[in-house]
Amino acid sequence: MGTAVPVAEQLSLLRRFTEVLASASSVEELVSVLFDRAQRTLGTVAGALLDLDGETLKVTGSFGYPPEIVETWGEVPLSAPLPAPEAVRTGEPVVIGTRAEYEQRFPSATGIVADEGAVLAIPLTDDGRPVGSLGLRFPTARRFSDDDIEVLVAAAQQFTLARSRLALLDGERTARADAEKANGRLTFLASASREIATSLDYERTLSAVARMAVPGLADWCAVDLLDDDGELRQLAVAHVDPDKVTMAQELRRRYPPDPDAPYGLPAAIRSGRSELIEEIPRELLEEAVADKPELRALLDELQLRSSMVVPMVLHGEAIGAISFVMAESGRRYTPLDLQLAEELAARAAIAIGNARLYGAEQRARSAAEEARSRTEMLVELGDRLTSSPELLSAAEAFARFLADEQGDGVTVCLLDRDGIASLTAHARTQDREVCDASQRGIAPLDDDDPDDPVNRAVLDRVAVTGRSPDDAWIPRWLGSDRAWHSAVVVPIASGARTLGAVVIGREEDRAPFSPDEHRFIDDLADRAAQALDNARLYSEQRFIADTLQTSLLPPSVPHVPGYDIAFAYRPAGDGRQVGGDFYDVVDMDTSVILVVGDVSGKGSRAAAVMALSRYAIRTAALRSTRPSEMLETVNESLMRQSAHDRFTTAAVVRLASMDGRMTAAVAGHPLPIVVRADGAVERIGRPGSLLGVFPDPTLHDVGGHLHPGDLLILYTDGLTDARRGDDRFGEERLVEVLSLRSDGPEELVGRVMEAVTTFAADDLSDDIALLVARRR
Amino acid sequence: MTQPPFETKVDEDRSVVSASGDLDLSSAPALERAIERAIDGDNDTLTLDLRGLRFIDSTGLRLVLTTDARLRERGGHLSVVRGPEVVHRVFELAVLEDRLTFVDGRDIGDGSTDGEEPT
Repeated sequence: MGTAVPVAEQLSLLRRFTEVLASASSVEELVSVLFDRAQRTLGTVAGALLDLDGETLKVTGSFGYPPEIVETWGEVPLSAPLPAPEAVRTGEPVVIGTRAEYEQRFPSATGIVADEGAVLAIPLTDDGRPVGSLGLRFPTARRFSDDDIEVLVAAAQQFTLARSRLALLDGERTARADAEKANGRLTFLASASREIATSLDYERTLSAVARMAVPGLADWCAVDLLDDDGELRQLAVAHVDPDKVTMAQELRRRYPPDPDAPYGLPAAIRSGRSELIEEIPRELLEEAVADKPELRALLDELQLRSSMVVPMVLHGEAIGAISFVMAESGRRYTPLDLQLAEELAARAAIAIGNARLYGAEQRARSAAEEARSRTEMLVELGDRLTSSPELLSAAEAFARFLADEQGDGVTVCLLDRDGIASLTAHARTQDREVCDASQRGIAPLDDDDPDDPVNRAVLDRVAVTGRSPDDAWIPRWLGSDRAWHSAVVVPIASGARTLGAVVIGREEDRAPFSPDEHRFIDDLADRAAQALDNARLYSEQRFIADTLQTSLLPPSVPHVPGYDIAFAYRPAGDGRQVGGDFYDVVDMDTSVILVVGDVSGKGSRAAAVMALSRYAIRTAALRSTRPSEMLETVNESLMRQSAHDRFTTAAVVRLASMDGRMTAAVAGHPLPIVVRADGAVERIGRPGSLLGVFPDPTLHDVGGHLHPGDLLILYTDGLTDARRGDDRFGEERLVEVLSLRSDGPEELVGRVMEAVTTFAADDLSDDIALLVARRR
Repeated sequence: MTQPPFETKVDEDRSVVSASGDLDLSSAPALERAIERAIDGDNDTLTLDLRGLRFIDSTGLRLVLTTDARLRERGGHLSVVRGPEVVHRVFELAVLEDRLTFVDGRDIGDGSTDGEEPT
């Protein structure tokens, strides 16, 4: 010992020891390296590591000592007369070479050791401070050189350094783990907040938040909301195991929380304050299942350990709560966790507030939208039906409208006065054309079937709703070529009068009619009923007017030798009223008599006067060749009728078949016009009295001649009085059209009528009768 | 197209009804109501001032004639202040010049229809 080589060898051992210490990653590993080297390199039989804790040295690691010794001597006071405390107290290694030496120096501790070996106690210092000592026991007596001791002290120092480094590292690791845990919380809070803030569907969002909380922040997480009735409703419950979720939901259903419970969810809701139970007391759980023994086993299985309940408070009132529970994982909540949970609940409450506000606004807005769009729809329907005054076209327009707006297929069925289905219009959303229902194989109304929904609608005014395939009437009324899914039948009634019914069907891809939609369709049918009733009246009047008119006026004019004759007749406005204009062409063999007249007023009385005038002229023509006499006959007839508030104007021209001689008489009527073959325009006749007003009318016959190619034009003032704004078609425009060359009377009549119709934009307020003759 | 304005004015003190604008199927009822007001009660004379008219059709003509007939039945009469040429020509065509009493504006002593030309 004490030679250079052993010292060098010892230094090399020390270096290797240092290297091994450096590679240790934990204090435990470090201690085991230390003890291993102590045994193998130094040949020690036992060793102990003692750490200074205040005035006590504690054994934190040992080898070679029997357990009872470690137990007895696990802690020794710093003041004890033993090698290790002395080394710590003095800061110097205690070196004892022999048993005798030991007994001499530490007489009171001789019971500890039984063998003869040497003992070393090396103080451990960290940064100059005593931190403990390392005790080593050798199997035999031994002498130590100063170098030996120096190397051992150096090795112990290395150990202490390495241990401090590892302790620091551990602290750092713990700190980092804590930091990561905190970071995890922040991440959760951030993502949960984002989830809450970005979606207005807060129920779905809160469920997502509950799911996000497990298993990281809770073994169980549940979200409860107070509904409008103040009842707690569990919105979501999350656990990693779906079976447990189902179980929890079932439990909740069977055992709803007692609203007066002094703790837990109800208490948090009532007080608006959060609750943290770091360690759920067993008694609390026992109490909870005290009257529900069947839950006992379940409770044991759940292993509830720690819980938090945080209310979501909006405007000072709890609107719900989020509950977090730690169970089988054995973790516990701390006030830090509660802080996070409260933060989350606060954000959730704000999000719910916003979402509810938004939802309320949306609902108000969509209700307003809906109301407006429905009003618009009603107006639109009114407009469309009013612009289709004929009954058939109005029914078609109604069917078209409903097919566009409410259903995929529509059948409108209208009754005639006898209650028989007289008219059916069928429309489909995809088809442009509205057709007669029979074209879709839709049978007419079966009067004998009291269960038929259309019969019920028209007879009892009941609306009927149906679903396929239960209701066989759906394909019967809408056609069996489509898969109807649902249908409604709504009566069309105006006042006390039932006009018919409408059947509306929807196919699979559209939702069935809601009660709300059903009501709206009722409204639409009511609106349509008014328009259809008007249209029905209109159509009847028009039919009567047409019939009367055709019976009073010649539908065609006779072929007359020497002349080509054409005429046009157009009743005023919509043609619902019998007009007062009339015309006639009477073939008298050697001559032809042309008549155009105008009875003041309209309607059936005017029609009667018209018929009278026309037949009076025909009768007079049989006995007189003078137009003025024919007109006088009319006057006499009218005067006998004593219809003083009505008068007639007329122009009568007699044309000789052979030579074109003509005689004209005019009674309060525009003078007939002659357009010569060369385009020159003349008027024929002289103004005479109105007919039916005075017993002694002033009437004149005026003669003239119509040459081949010349045109004679008789017309009523409906033509020249046709109005556009404050302008009238007038004689000038008429003459302008007439003086253009034309191929014949037909073309000329067509051109005049086109000119006046265009001028008046199709809105003629008076009848027009026009008669044109051209001499061949 | 808008309807040219048709206006009536009733001077009940002097029994004068003035009409301006187009007298046709659509405006005749308005004039008829004005005339009714003017001859309400036992008034049997009336002056119808047509100077403001721009147009008259057979409906207008009929109203003039029926008014004339009604007043005659009561033993009274109707005076018509001649309208512009285009209006008066209709009376001429119906040969009513001698059947109705036409007067000039000065015969009723004022120019009350001045400024009532349709705008």
